[in-house]
Amino acid sequence: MMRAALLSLLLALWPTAPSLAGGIVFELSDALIEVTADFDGSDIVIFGVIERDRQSVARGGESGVAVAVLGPAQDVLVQRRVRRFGFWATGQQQRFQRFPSFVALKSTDGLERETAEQMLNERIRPTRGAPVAAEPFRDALIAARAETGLYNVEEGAVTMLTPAFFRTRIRLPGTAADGDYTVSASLFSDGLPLDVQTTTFTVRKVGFEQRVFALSQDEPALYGLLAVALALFTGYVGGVVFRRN
Amino acid sequence: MDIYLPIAEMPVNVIVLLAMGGAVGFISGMFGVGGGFLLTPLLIFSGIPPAYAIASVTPQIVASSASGALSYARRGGVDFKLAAVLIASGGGGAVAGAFLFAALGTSGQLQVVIAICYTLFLATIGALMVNESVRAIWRRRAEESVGVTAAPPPARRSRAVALVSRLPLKMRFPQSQLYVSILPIFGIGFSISFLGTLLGIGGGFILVPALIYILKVRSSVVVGTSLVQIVGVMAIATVMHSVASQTVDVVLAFVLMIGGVIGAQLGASLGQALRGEQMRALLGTLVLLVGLRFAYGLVDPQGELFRVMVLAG
Repeated sequence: MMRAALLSLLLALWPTAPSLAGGIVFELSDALIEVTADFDGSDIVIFGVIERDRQSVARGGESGVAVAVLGPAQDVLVQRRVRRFGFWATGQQQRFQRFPSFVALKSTDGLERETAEQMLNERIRPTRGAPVAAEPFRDALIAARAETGLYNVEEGAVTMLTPAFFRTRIRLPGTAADGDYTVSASLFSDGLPLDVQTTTFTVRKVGFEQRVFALSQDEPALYGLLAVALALFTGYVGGVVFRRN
Repeated sequence: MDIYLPIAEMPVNVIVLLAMGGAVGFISGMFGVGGGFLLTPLLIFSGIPPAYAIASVTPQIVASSASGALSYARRGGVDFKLAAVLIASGGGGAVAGAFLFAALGTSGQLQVVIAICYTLFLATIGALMVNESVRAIWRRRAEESVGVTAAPPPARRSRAVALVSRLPLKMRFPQSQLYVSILPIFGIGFSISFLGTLLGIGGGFILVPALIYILKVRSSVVVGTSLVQIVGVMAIATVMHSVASQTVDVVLAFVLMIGGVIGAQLGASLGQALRGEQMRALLGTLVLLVGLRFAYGLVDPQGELFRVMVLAG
């Protein structure tokens, strides 16, 4: 009796090993990306394993692995520009609240795009209750983001190194926002997710960059006065050094 | 070689920034202007978001005007009383400009307002400057070919100038040998500072003619007084932008300052070789070209159909 209770308690406390719970498990190359003066983007490598008896299902058109990375949310405004009398004027606009500042979606070769995109749809919809007319605005937003590497959907970018072992690489551009990024890896079979695992990594300014940014937010008046002092000093020194007499 | 801008949150090429700062500094040294009207558009066209470009150029203008102001002050070329009244009235304009700037930023209208203001403002001022200087050049040519000095065109007392002389609340400015109402001083100081704060320009190229033609300030103190006013007002604008929109990027500003200070010294030596009206014609052409570049953006048939911006906060 006592022994049975202990056993069930042990089982309840036992860390849910992914190989038991099923599906997929993965790990990131970095959990923290530090933004310093020479920051111009970063690569994150994701390694993962599919459980053995699921390997057989991870084949074919609607089956495979997809990895989604979503950056911290931002408020984004998309304005349509219309020509009036030959001039560009601002037409309708659509606001996207809590739109991810960064989106990457990588999938194994052959996984259908619609299947993989299930992982994004929750987060990149227009503001709740927005009319269907929001679609072109969303497309424009995605196109603009894709141009700067902030929106990146790539099929075949998840490589199966062995039938069980996969790898992919995420490129964060230098303009990537600070904050927490969620990484989800999903194993699909027949278009349905068999298992999803999620983890996070953080992009954070450190050292001088962090102190400058914090000062500008916490003590904006002091920050402004220091900027003026720096300007006066630089102007004065420049005047003295280059004085032609 | 890239450097990360902590406030604008993006990497930029530091060599390109130094070159832009240096080139604009060269021009500003040559013509004796701050150069904000060139530097801010250059930054915007090179991909820095307008809000950060404009706000970060304000401390750069402080730096580039400070050394000039200092050297004029040493030679007694500054009317400090007039400068103080201009700065006091300009402070109000800078505060209003910075808060309008922040409100336009959060509502997503900043880019379009900036483009329209730059177009109207620079195209108008540039056209006026070119017109005036080209006439002056022709007049000189005509005089030289005839061989006698023609009588200068009769000084027109425009209605505006006549009005200024009748306004109340007069104040004495001994150093400029002026006895003038403070109302036009207030109007000039406020409006130029308001526009300058909103657009990221010091406004010397409008302030100097305004002081000469409207207030009739003695020419020996005009440039120095204008520089002191620009230092004061742009310092206020820097603090106000920091408070209202947190868009002053001090790293960006510092790199621009370094380029600007060096460029200005080289430009100043070249500027002495040019005649006044030739300089004004060149400067006017430059102002006009920047205005036309913004105008092109407003009509560009290849223009983007959508504009995307991240809202602050």
